[in-house]
Amino acid sequence: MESRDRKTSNEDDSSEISELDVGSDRFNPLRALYEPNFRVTDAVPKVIYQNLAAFESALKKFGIWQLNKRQKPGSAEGGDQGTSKKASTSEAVDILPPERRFEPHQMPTTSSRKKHHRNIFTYMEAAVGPLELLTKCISPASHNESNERRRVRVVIRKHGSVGGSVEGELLAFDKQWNLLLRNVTETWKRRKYNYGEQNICDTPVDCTGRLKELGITLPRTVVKNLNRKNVEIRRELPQILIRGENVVLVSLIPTK
Amino acid sequence: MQQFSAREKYLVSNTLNCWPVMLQGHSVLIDLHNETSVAGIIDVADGHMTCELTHAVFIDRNGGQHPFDHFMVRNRMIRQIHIPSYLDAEQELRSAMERGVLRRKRVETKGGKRTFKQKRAEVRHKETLQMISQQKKNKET
Repeated sequence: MESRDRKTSNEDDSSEISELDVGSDRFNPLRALYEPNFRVTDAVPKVIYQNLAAFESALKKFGIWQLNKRQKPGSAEGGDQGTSKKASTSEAVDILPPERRFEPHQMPTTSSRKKHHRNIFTYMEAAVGPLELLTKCISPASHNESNERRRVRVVIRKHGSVGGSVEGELLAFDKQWNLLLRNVTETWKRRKYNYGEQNICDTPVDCTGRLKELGITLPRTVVKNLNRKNVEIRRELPQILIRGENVVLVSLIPTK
Repeated sequence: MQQFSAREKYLVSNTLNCWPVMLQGHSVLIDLHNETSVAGIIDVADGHMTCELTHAVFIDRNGGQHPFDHFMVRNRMIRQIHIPSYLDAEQELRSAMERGVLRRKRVETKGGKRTFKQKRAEVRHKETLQMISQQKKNKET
């Protein structure tokens, strides 16, 4: 009886197991579906796909026997171990040192706005009317050696009348007739020493030391006697800026 | 640098009124409108050509010299300004217009030292990069 009971229980267990085993011939799918704790296998899958679409694409791509193998992101064929090792090695080499990688829209904006450039040179180029004549006197700097710069004669006013004239090469001018001249010859007439009264300051002092300290050398004056009371003074100056208020007339000296 | 009004800024930037401003600190000889001259160092100059000279020598019509510690030349007294011959007037004017006469020189940041803000920003940047690389290593293992 005992042996019979054992045999019966053994048979039932084996039949149960065989019915629930997916691999056996006596597998009963209906019973497997209604079994509450049924598991097809105890093995943990290596790759878990996110959804059916991913599973389907992987099935198409790798086939049925490659589904449970971890695929390398670099290599398409994951089956070959040698290839996978090489791929991983090259991948390790290819990995750049970590640094910030910004999208194009995160980079600083490149401004296309043009800066406003207006200065005295643009004014001189755009001068119209009488000042246009002065523009022709100023040659571009690049042609400074090739063509000679035309000299201009500027008539300078005195307190109550015309005082003298200045001849030089014109470097720049502005709308107030301020003139920048170079290699200047200044000529004017004035009263002789004894006939010109000097009543601005007291007794003069010798300030040659102070002038030397300043580094200023007074320009040399050439005096020509005109008549009993008047002399003509001429002096050469390297470069001067004439204030526009004193300009009476600007004329071009014809080229010889 | 003194305070310039808007009109003075325009005049200095667009006309030859920039020369007294450019010549600040230089020794110049200025001819005045009554045939006298004054030589000195331009201490202050505004945008209207008014100059204040220091260490000045006033030269009257007959050539007599008179020392002055300070001499103010109003703009309408000026007949002409003798630009020092060691300056190339054209080159100086061109470079001044390119640089901007009134543009103050940018003070160089203290010899390579970083401010606290810069230092903190760089430290946090390095920490972020280390964190990223650490996460990558964790993913690989």
